[in-house]
Amino acid sequence: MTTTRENPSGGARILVVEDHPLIAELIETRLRIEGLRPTKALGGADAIARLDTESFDLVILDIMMPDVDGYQVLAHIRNTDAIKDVPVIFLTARSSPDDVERGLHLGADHYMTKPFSGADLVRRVKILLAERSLPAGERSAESAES
Amino acid sequence: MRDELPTLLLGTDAVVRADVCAEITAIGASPVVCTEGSLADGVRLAEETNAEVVAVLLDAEPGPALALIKELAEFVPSAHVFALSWDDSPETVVRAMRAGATEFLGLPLDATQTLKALLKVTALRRLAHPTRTPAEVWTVYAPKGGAGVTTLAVNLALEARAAGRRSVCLLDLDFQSSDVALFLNLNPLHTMLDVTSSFRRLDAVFLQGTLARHASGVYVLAGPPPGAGTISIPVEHVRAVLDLLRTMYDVVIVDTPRTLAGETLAAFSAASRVLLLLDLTLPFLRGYRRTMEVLDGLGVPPERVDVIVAKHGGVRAGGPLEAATKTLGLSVAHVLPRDEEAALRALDKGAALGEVRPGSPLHRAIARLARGLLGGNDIPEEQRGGWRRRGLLGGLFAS
Repeated sequence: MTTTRENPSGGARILVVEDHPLIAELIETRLRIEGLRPTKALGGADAIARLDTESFDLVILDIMMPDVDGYQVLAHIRNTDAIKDVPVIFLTARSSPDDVERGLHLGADHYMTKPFSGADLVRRVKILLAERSLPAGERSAESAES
Repeated sequence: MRDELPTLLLGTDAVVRADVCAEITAIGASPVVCTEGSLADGVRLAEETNAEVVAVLLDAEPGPALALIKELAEFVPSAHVFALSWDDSPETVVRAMRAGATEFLGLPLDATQTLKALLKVTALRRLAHPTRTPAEVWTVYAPKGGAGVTTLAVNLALEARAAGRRSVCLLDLDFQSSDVALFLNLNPLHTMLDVTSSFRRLDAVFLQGTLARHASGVYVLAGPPPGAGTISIPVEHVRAVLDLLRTMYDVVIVDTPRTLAGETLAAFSAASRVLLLLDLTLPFLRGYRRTMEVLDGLGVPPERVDVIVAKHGGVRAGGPLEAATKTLGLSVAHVLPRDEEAALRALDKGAALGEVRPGSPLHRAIARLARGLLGGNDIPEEQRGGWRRRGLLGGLFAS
């Protein structure tokens, strides 16, 4: 079990999949301030291409995107051996229980409904990154969070 | 923006608190002003000291400290909560973060990690208060209804976006009618009510998430939806939204109600230009005087106020413009011609004047006004602001 003398989330590579350029930019700025290394993908197809060629420690994923939606991206992640365990946070304007359940059933680790604060998102990213060091049974039983 | 970083250190052991406080002060890049207190007084002290950083010492029994962290996250959301502990195992780190800590620092403090954590706080502060040129804020107001405030605000926003390649946001502070979204044929998912209901979470990411995007690229923070009932949105929330939008956009245009309520006054105070709409009828002119008194009381200098005569011309016009300017000493910066047909057609279609009546006198006048406000030469300096009382009719406004 590793200790966390060093920042457990320091330098982690985060893929931000969000087709709204301003929100993507704001999230990217926020993550950079936290010492993380975000990369933006402005659509689902771009996200899948990056996931297949680059290495990420966590994915922040919008659901509603015009080309390939977040559900398809998540399915790709969970069905690809090399990346199937990467933590995923869903971001969505939808907050119906069915959407929440669908996202979590497909394997999302966390779910945030828009609008969300940058501080809340960063907090959740840090928790998920810190939890990587825990045995699987001790990680949080995830639920959606607005 | 202050230079020092007020920091509060909370823990059960006074000796340990003093030692750690001294360490943090020595490490901090900004002048760190560190005060200390017990866990029991934590929330109260955090509020009283207005600490930006609240560091909580976790001891062997971390339960009370974790409970305090949770309270701080809820009741003092503006503070950055650091958890400090001799136990830096993953389990403890995760527990602290789940409670609401934004940083975890192992003890004894590592100078590099501590400095990084403190620098993040100052970086976030700079993000909230950038030193770049603040946005233009154009507050559109009329002392009586029916002058065309929303028509002007909406079309100014569209013209500003089209003319200057600038980022533009339109803020609807007329909470009783909330017409801006209607004028633009928008169906916003979120409104100012969402900001108010989650005010503690407000930051740029949250606020951007509440804005509706018009096809022109103008973003809109809509007023509360119809049927929302009695609206009570604290002025503090309005000010916070204005302050944030100014850091996010190049131009912020504010549609205000005709009442001189808190939100209107906040919009006046934030404005780089107040666009004061009136027609040349007596009720407007009386209201105008009251408005100028209020602006003066708020410290808004006359040169920041542009008087715009609306709905000028036609059979229902008020007194001639010349009479008003000469007799009343009204200094008119701009005139918008009467064109109700175009305005109603635009409203009916939820479209810009430039779309439904391109080249109409009203469209051209608003486009010219936008260019002038963006730094063109359409409003001569001497015609900006000010009302000079003189003449016989000036007695109407005698103090």
